[in-house]
Amino acid sequence: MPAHILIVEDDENIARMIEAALAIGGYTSKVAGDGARALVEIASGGYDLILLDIMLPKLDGFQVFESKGDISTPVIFLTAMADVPSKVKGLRMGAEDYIVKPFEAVELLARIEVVLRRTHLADTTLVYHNITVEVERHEVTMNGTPVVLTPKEFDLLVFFIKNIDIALTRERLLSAVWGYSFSGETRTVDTHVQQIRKKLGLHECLLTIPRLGYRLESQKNS
Amino acid sequence: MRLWQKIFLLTLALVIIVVNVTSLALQFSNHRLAIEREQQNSSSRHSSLIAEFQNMVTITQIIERVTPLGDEETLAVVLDVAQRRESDTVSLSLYRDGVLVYSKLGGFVGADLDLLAQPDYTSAIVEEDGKTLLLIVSTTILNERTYQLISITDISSTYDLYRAGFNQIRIIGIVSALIVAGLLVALVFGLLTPLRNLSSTTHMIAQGDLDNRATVTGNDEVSEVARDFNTMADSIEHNIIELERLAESRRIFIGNLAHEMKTPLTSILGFADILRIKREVSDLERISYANVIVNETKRLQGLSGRLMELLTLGTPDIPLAKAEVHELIHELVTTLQPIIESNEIKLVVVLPRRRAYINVDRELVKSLIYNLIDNSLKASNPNGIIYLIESLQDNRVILQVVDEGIGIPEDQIPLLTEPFYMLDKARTRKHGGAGLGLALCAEIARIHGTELKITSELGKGTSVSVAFDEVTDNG
Repeated sequence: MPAHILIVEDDENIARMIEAALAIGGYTSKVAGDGARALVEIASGGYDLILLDIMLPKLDGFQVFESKGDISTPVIFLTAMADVPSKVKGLRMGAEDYIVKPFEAVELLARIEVVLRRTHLADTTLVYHNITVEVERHEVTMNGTPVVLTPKEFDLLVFFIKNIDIALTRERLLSAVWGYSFSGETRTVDTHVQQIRKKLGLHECLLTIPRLGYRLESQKNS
Repeated sequence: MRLWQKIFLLTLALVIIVVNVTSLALQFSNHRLAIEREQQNSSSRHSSLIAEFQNMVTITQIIERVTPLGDEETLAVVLDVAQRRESDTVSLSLYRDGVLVYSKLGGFVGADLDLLAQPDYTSAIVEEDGKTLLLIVSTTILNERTYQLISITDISSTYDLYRAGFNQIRIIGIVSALIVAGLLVALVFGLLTPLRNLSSTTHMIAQGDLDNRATVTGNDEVSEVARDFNTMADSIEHNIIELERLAESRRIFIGNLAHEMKTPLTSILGFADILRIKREVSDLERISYANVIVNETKRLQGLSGRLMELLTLGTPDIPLAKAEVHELIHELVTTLQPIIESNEIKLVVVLPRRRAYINVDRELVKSLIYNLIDNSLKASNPNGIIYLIESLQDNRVILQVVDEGIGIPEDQIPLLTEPFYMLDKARTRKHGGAGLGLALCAEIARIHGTELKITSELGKGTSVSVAFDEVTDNG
């Protein structure tokens, strides 16, 4: 069952954008336009994650967070305030993460993925056609036969499977798998992608998108 | 050296010099008087002695019935008188025809010989054997012989007194110097206390404690400086508070600006990224996403345009020219026509019969009224009425925009002209606003030396008016 996410955002267009982005990631979502409505939604339950804007009419995001009480649904703050004090305040209150506007759709999905995995709501077993990945045990099998991958190749494969049908730039892959310190060394990505293709026979599914990066297709191209 | 030390040392030196010079001068004059008195006493004693010599010689001649008396008899009479008249302090020497015939001091007195060469009467002061002696010499003729009498008075005691006086002066000098020094320290220290207070206040203020003020006591020069200093500190504090307020409002402005830019940017970046990464995008989705991107980009464009206008208004000396108000309103109504029609709203213009002139920047004032009417449009319901009223009152031309729209809560009215303030965020955004319209209007009014007057009632409508000085034909 896909995760259900509450979007608390007063700007209509941003809310629509987040809904569209979440749909790509396979999540279902609902929008609350102000703090008061958000509290009602949170209380009604059924959400796996809350994306909470801070500058809201009626009640601001911090107040919503404080008022929601013991409900343990993880929260990611979305805000235009990039200053360190509000970031620290948000995280100290117990938020799982803090995303500064503006952000790319993929970044949002990646952060959501991390939070859901941390709260054990993400799948620990990923299946892609004949490939099965045990995320916790770091094991990959193809048609039941184990395949040996280096740790970076493993992380890269997991990231691709989690972002099926999403075009991923080399920069995004670098920051997701290698961390930000490697930015610029995009050739590293290319060699690892080639290794994955070779070891798992993904030549037709893991496509190169010209002038952008790579995409793992949900259906095999015939 | 500290000021109090300088004042102290200089005053002390002056006091010591004055005290000593005065006492020395007194001492000298007292001494001279004492010597003169001794001289008078001695000289009168001397004269009476000479007279007694002559009397006794005459009396002896009458008694002895010998005239004149013989030389030796005369000398005997004289010596008899002299010996009787001598005392502890006065001794005598007697010469006859230049030959010493009597001296109690055992003959020679050093200065005698010089003195004998002097004419009839003279006096002198000599030092001998540690004593100070006053000598008086006179010559008298007795029975055709020349007698010279020298009376010697010991005036050592007068001189001893004189010398002892110096020691006293020294002691008095030292004691008075100490007393004066003590008084001076207390006095100078006390007098300079306000100055020291002023100095420490200055120090505190320099270190950022702007609330601190010097205490003003009395009416002297230092308290005058303290008063002036306080006045200066007041104005500096005022300026700094003003600067801080300005910096704070600028900080808020930039913060709001960043937020206003980030909101459309978030939608633009998000949808653009979705269009880029999503494998299959339906036509409906593509059009809807692109629409958002275009609209939000327009919002950013509008925001930057408004910012440029605000920036232009900030430049000093915008030239003002005489403009006729009817004409101005006519031009304005022409530009307003399309948006009035598309909003299905009626604009009623009320003009006075008389034509009036005002000193303005035409375009800015048109923009001001345009913005006010635009706001009224957004607040009005379809088929509502907006009034634009010109009225003349006490040499003022009042332009007023009145609507029958949703109105503004009273407590929000003062905030309306703050940049980025939005009464209803969603409503403002829907109309593509960024919350800068009324801030612009207020700024335009300020440039023309006037201000916006806003009155409103919730559910009934809003009235905004701005008054300009009327320019008369001869003015």
